[in-house]
Amino acid sequence: MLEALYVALDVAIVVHLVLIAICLWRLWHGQNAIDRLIALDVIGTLVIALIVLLAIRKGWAMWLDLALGFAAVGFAGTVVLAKLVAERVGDEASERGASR
Amino acid sequence: MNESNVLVLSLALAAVVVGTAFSIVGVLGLLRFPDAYSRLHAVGKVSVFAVSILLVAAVVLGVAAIGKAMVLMVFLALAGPVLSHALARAARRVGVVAEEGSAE
Repeated sequence: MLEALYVALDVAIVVHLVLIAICLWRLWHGQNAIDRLIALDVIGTLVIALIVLLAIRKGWAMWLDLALGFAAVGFAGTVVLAKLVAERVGDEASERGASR
Repeated sequence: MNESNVLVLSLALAAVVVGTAFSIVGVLGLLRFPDAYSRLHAVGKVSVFAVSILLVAAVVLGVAAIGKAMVLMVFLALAGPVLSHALARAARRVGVVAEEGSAE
Protein backbone atom coordinates (compact mmCIF):
# COMPACT_ATOMS: atom_id res chain seq x y z
CA MET A 1 0.00 0.00 0.00
CA LEU A 2 2.83 2.37 0.85
CA GLU A 3 4.53 1.50 -2.42
CA ALA A 4 1.34 2.34 -4.31
CA LEU A 5 1.23 5.72 -2.57
CA TYR A 6 4.86 6.38 -3.50
CA VAL A 7 4.19 5.46 -7.12
CA ALA A 8 1.11 7.70 -7.20
CA LEU A 9 3.12 10.58 -5.72
CA ASP A 10 5.90 10.15 -8.27
CA VAL A 11 3.40 10.05 -11.13
CA ALA A 12 1.64 13.12 -9.75
CA ILE A 13 4.95 15.02 -9.53
CA VAL A 14 5.81 14.17 -13.14
CA VAL A 15 2.30 15.12 -14.29
CA HIS A 16 2.57 18.48 -12.56
CA LEU A 17 5.95 19.13 -14.19
CA VAL A 18 4.43 18.38 -17.61
CA LEU A 19 1.48 20.68 -16.85
CA ILE A 20 3.89 23.47 -15.86
CA ALA A 21 5.72 22.98 -19.17
CA ILE A 22 2.40 23.22 -21.07
CA CYS A 23 1.54 26.43 -19.23
CA LEU A 24 4.98 27.86 -20.02
CA TRP A 25 4.31 27.15 -23.70
CA ARG A 26 0.98 28.90 -23.28
CA LEU A 27 2.72 31.82 -21.58
CA TRP A 28 5.00 32.16 -24.58
CA HIS A 29 2.30 31.77 -27.27
CA GLY A 30 -0.62 33.54 -25.60
CA GLN A 31 -3.12 35.46 -27.70
CA ASN A 32 -2.95 38.63 -25.62
CA ALA A 33 -1.66 39.94 -22.32
CA ILE A 34 -4.61 38.58 -20.32
CA ASP A 35 -4.10 35.04 -21.62
CA ARG A 36 -0.46 35.24 -20.57
CA LEU A 37 -1.43 36.49 -17.13
CA ILE A 38 -3.88 33.62 -16.70
CA ALA A 39 -1.15 31.15 -17.69
CA LEU A 40 1.19 32.76 -15.15
CA ASP A 41 -1.45 32.44 -12.45
CA VAL A 42 -1.95 28.77 -13.26
CA ILE A 43 1.81 28.19 -13.15
CA GLY A 44 1.88 29.70 -9.67
CA THR A 45 -0.86 27.38 -8.46
CA LEU A 46 0.79 24.34 -10.07
CA VAL A 47 4.09 25.17 -8.38
CA ILE A 48 2.29 25.32 -5.02
CA ALA A 49 0.77 21.90 -5.72
CA LEU A 50 4.21 20.59 -6.70
CA ILE A 51 5.73 21.89 -3.46
CA VAL A 52 2.98 20.16 -1.45
CA LEU A 53 3.54 16.90 -3.37
CA LEU A 54 7.29 17.04 -2.74
CA ALA A 55 6.64 17.73 0.94
CA ILE A 56 4.47 14.61 1.14
CA ARG A 57 6.87 12.46 -0.87
CA LYS A 58 9.98 13.41 1.07
CA GLY A 59 8.35 14.05 4.43
CA TRP A 60 9.64 17.63 4.57
CA ALA A 61 7.09 19.37 6.79
CA MET A 62 8.95 22.65 6.45
CA TRP A 63 8.04 22.93 2.75
CA LEU A 64 4.43 23.73 3.67
CA ASP A 65 5.71 27.12 4.90
CA LEU A 66 7.41 27.52 1.54
CA ALA A 67 4.09 26.83 -0.20
CA LEU A 68 2.36 29.45 1.97
CA GLY A 69 5.01 32.06 1.16
CA PHE A 70 4.85 31.25 -2.53
CA ALA A 71 1.05 31.56 -2.49
CA ALA A 72 1.24 35.00 -0.85
CA VAL A 73 3.89 36.31 -3.24
CA GLY A 74 2.17 34.87 -6.30
CA PHE A 75 -1.16 36.39 -5.27
CA ALA A 76 0.33 39.86 -4.82
CA GLY A 77 2.29 39.62 -8.06
CA THR A 78 -0.68 38.56 -10.17
CA VAL A 79 -2.96 41.25 -8.74
CA VAL A 80 -0.35 43.95 -9.35
CA LEU A 81 0.34 42.75 -12.89
CA ALA A 82 -3.40 42.63 -13.70
CA LYS A 83 -3.76 46.17 -12.37
CA LEU A 84 -0.75 47.32 -14.41
CA VAL A 85 -2.01 45.75 -17.63
CA ALA A 86 -5.53 47.13 -17.10
CA GLU A 87 -4.33 50.69 -16.53
CA ARG A 88 -1.58 50.81 -19.16
CA VAL A 89 -3.37 49.11 -22.03
CA GLY A 90 -6.79 50.38 -21.01
CA ASP A 91 -5.57 53.98 -21.12
CA GLU A 92 -3.96 53.44 -24.52
CA ALA A 93 -7.17 51.90 -25.85
CA SER A 94 -9.27 54.79 -24.61
CA GLU A 95 -6.80 57.27 -26.14
CA ARG A 96 -7.21 55.56 -29.49
CA GLY A 97 -10.94 56.14 -29.21
CA ALA A 98 -11.97 52.57 -28.62
CA SER A 99 -15.00 52.49 -26.38
CA ARG A 100 -14.24 49.18 -24.67
CA MET B 1 4.98 9.05 6.79
CA ASN B 2 4.60 7.81 10.30
CA GLU B 3 1.42 5.83 9.68
CA SER B 4 1.09 2.49 7.96
CA ASN B 5 -2.64 2.13 8.43
CA VAL B 6 -4.38 0.90 5.30
CA LEU B 7 -7.32 3.27 5.64
CA VAL B 8 -5.04 6.29 6.03
CA LEU B 9 -2.90 5.26 3.10
CA SER B 10 -5.83 4.64 0.79
CA LEU B 11 -7.39 7.97 1.75
CA ALA B 12 -4.11 9.73 0.98
CA LEU B 13 -3.82 7.83 -2.30
CA ALA B 14 -7.33 8.87 -3.33
CA ALA B 15 -6.60 12.48 -2.38
CA VAL B 16 -3.40 12.58 -4.44
CA VAL B 17 -5.12 11.07 -7.48
CA VAL B 18 -8.13 13.39 -7.28
CA GLY B 19 -5.95 16.48 -6.75
CA THR B 20 -3.82 15.62 -9.77
CA ALA B 21 -6.98 15.07 -11.82
CA PHE B 22 -8.18 18.54 -10.79
CA SER B 23 -4.89 20.06 -11.97
CA ILE B 24 -5.17 18.27 -15.31
CA VAL B 25 -8.74 19.49 -15.80
CA GLY B 26 -7.70 23.07 -15.02
CA VAL B 27 -4.90 23.11 -17.57
CA LEU B 28 -7.20 21.40 -20.09
CA GLY B 29 -9.67 24.24 -19.59
CA LEU B 30 -6.88 26.76 -20.08
CA LEU B 31 -5.98 25.13 -23.37
CA ARG B 32 -9.41 24.36 -24.81
CA PHE B 33 -11.79 27.17 -23.85
CA PRO B 34 -12.33 29.86 -26.49
CA ASP B 35 -11.87 33.19 -24.71
CA ALA B 36 -10.25 34.71 -21.64
CA TYR B 37 -13.41 34.85 -19.53
CA SER B 38 -14.26 31.17 -19.90
CA ARG B 39 -10.62 30.27 -19.27
CA LEU B 40 -10.81 32.18 -16.02
CA HIS B 41 -14.01 30.33 -15.22
CA ALA B 42 -12.22 27.00 -15.61
CA VAL B 43 -8.97 27.93 -13.92
CA GLY B 44 -10.18 29.98 -10.99
CA LYS B 45 -12.12 27.21 -9.31
CA VAL B 46 -10.22 24.08 -10.26
CA SER B 47 -6.71 25.16 -9.31
CA VAL B 48 -7.73 26.14 -5.77
CA PHE B 49 -9.42 22.80 -5.18
CA ALA B 50 -6.42 20.86 -6.48
CA VAL B 51 -4.06 22.31 -3.88
CA SER B 52 -6.68 21.94 -1.13
CA ILE B 53 -7.17 18.24 -1.83
CA LEU B 54 -3.42 17.64 -1.94
CA LEU B 55 -3.22 19.37 1.44
CA VAL B 56 -5.81 16.91 2.74
CA ALA B 57 -3.41 14.13 1.78
CA ALA B 58 -0.58 15.90 3.61
CA VAL B 59 -2.67 16.27 6.77
CA VAL B 60 -3.87 12.67 6.69
CA LEU B 61 -0.32 11.35 6.36
CA GLY B 62 0.89 13.49 9.23
CA VAL B 63 3.32 15.53 7.16
CA ALA B 64 1.56 18.83 7.81
CA ALA B 65 0.01 20.12 10.99
CA ILE B 66 -3.71 20.63 10.48
CA GLY B 67 -3.56 24.29 11.50
CA LYS B 68 -0.93 25.16 8.93
CA ALA B 69 -2.83 23.35 6.20
CA MET B 70 -6.03 25.15 7.19
CA VAL B 71 -4.23 28.51 6.96
CA LEU B 72 -3.04 27.68 3.45
CA MET B 73 -6.50 26.42 2.39
CA VAL B 74 -8.26 29.53 3.71
CA PHE B 75 -5.71 31.78 2.06
CA LEU B 76 -6.15 30.04 -1.29
CA ALA B 77 -9.94 30.11 -0.99
CA LEU B 78 -9.81 33.85 -0.35
CA ALA B 79 -7.16 34.64 -2.95
CA GLY B 80 -8.69 32.64 -5.81
CA PRO B 81 -11.84 34.75 -6.36
CA VAL B 82 -9.84 37.97 -5.89
CA LEU B 83 -7.40 36.88 -8.57
CA SER B 84 -10.18 35.85 -10.96
CA HIS B 85 -11.93 39.17 -10.40
CA ALA B 86 -8.74 41.18 -10.99
CA LEU B 87 -7.92 39.28 -14.18
CA ALA B 88 -11.48 39.49 -15.54
CA ARG B 89 -11.59 43.20 -14.78
CA ALA B 90 -8.26 43.68 -16.56
CA ALA B 91 -9.60 41.73 -19.57
CA ARG B 92 -12.69 43.90 -19.65
CA ARG B 93 -10.60 47.06 -19.43
CA VAL B 94 -8.17 45.97 -22.13
CA GLY B 95 -11.09 45.16 -24.40
CA VAL B 96 -10.96 41.38 -24.72
CA VAL B 97 -14.14 40.44 -26.57
CA ALA B 98 -16.08 37.40 -25.43
CA GLU B 99 -16.52 34.63 -27.94
CA GLU B 100 -19.74 34.55 -29.93
CA GLY B 101 -22.42 32.54 -28.16
CA SER B 102 -21.01 32.75 -24.63
CA ALA B 103 -22.91 34.76 -22.06
CA GLU B 104 -20.84 37.88 -21.60
